[in-house]
Amino acid sequence: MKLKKIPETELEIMQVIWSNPTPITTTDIKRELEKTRPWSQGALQSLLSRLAERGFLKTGVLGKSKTFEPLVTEDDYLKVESASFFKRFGEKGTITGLVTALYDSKTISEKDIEELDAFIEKIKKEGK
Amino acid sequence: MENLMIDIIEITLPISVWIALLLLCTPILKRSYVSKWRYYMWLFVAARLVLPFKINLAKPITMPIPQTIPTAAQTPVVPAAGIDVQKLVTFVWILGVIVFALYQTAKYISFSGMVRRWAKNVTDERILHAVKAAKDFAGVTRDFNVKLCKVVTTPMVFGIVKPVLLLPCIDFTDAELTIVLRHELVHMKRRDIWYKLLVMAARAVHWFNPMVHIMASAADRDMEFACDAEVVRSQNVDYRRGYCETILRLVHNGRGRGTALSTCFFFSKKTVLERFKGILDEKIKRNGVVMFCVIAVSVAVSGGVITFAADSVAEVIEDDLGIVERPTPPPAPTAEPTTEPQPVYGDDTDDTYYEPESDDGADGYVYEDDYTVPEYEDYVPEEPEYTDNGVNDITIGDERGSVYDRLGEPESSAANGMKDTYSLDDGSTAVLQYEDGTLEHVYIVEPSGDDADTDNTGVTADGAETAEE
Repeated sequence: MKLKKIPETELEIMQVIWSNPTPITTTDIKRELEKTRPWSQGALQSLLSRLAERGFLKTGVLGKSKTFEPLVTEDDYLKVESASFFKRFGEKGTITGLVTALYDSKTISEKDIEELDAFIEKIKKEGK
Repeated sequence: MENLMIDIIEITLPISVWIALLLLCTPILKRSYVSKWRYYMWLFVAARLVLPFKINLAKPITMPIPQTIPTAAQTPVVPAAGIDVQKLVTFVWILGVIVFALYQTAKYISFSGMVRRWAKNVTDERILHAVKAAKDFAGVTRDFNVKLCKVVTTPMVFGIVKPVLLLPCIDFTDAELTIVLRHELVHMKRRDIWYKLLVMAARAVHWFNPMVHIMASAADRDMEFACDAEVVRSQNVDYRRGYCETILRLVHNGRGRGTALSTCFFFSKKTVLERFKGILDEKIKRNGVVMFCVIAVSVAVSGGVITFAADSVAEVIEDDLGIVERPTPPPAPTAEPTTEPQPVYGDDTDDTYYEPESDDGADGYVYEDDYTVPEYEDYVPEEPEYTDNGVNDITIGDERGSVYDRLGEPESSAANGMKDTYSLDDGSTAVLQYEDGTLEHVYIVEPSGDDADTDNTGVTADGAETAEE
C-alpha cells in the first residue's frame, strides 16, 4: 500500500491514536486532543473518516460509539515520510546544514560502530 | 556586475591556497593549539570569502610590479572578445548562487516543517530542570523552546531566528542529559547556527570552488571539537569518558534507523574517533593568538594582493596588444640612409645584450637621438634567438667607412668587395656583408662550424630578421 503524507491536523489525531491504547473511541480522542487546544466534534469526525478512507485507520464499534485502530504503525509511517524527504534531498547529504547536533550520521557502518565500541572499552579499562 | 565576478575570482583563488595550507597544517595545529583557533580561523576565512572587497593596503606591498609577468601569456583574459564570455560566466555564476541558495532554503523549510509536525513540547520536569542547569553552565540567557522530536536521533539546536532545542525520544540518564544539554547550549551560546549560515553563504558565493566546500566540512568538524573542548574544560577523566560514551550511545541510536533524519554527514568513524581523542586529551594547549592575527591579516589582504597583480597582468597584456598593433616596430635606418654612423650594440664577443635604454656611453657607443627607447623594448624578447644562433649582435649601419672607423680595417675582404671578415677573441669570425657600401648582414661564424653558413642567421640592415640563404 502506498502511504500518502498525512496533513498536519490529521497527524495530530494519528499521534493521539498511536500513543494511546486502541481501539479508541471518538470521545477519548477528542479528550486527548483538547489537552492542547479545543476541537469541534464535527471536524474531528470528518477527519477521522478521511483517515479511515485512506487506509490509516480501521473502524469498529464499541457499544454506541465508533472506535478506531491504527493500520499503520508510527514507525512505519515515519519511515515513509523521512524516505520522501531523503528522496528529495539526497540520501547522503545532511538534512540541513543549519543545525548543531551533538552527533549523528547515517553513513556510519556496523563495523565502524564496533571499532568505536572497542575504543570506549579500551579507555574504560585504562581508567580502572 | 562583470567586475563583481572578477572580484570573486580574485578572492577565491588566494583564499583557496590559504584553505589548503590551513588544512595541511591541521595535524600540527591540533597538537599544540586549541581547537578554537581553527574554529575562529574558518570563521574568518568564510567572512573573507563572503565579503568581496579589495584591500588597498596591499598596493604598496606589492610594488614594484615586474616588467613582464611570466604567466601573462597564459592568462585567459581577452579584452576584445572576452566581454561576452565574461558576461556569460557571470550569468552562470549568479545562476549557480541562486540554485544553491534555493536548494538550501527548500531543504531548510522542508526539515523545519517535518520537525514542527513531529515535535512535542517537553513536559518532563527532570528534563526541564536539566536544561536550566545547562543554560547556567553555558551562560545562555535567552529563552527557547525545548522539544522532543521523533525524527531526530541526536540532540540538536535548530532554527535561525528562533532556535529550538530538539531532543530525540531516548531515555537519557541524568549524566547523559547533562552532557548533551551542555554541548547543545554551548552551541547556542556561540550562535553556531549563524556561523554555519555564514559558511553556507561562502559556499553559495563560491559554489564552483571545491576548496570552499571542503573548508565548510572542516569548519563543521572543528566547530564540534571546539564545542567539546568547552564542555570538558577543567573536567576530570571520568567526566570526559562519560562524554565519549554518550556520543557512542547516540551513534548506536542513529544506527539503522530509516525512520529518523540524520545530520552531519561529515562525521565518519574517523571523525568520531578524533573527537574521542580530543575529549580525552587533557593537555593544555596554546591559544596561538599572535599566529592567528598574522594569518588573519594575511588572509584579509590576500584578495587585494592578487587584485593588484591581476591589474598589472592586464596592463602587460594591453601593452602586448599595443605592440602587436604597431605597424612597424623599429625605425628603419636604411629607409633613410643617413651619413651618420649607426651604432653597433655590444661587442661581438660578448653575449650580453646591451639594453638600448642604457645610453650611458660606457660601452663606447653613442646612440643617436632618433633612437627612441620604446621601440627597442620590442626587441627584448627576441634577444635569446640571436645568441642561440651564434650571431651575437645586430649591427645596423650604412657605410663601410664608419665601420672601419670603429673596428679598424678588416682582416680580409672578399674579392668582390662584398664581405669583410674580422677575427674575434673567442676564435669565431665576424662576417660583415655589404652592398653598395651599405651594411646588409652581420653574422658570426663559429670556428668549429663546418656548415657555418646554414647555421647563421643574419639580420638585415632594415631590422627584419632573415635566415641566411
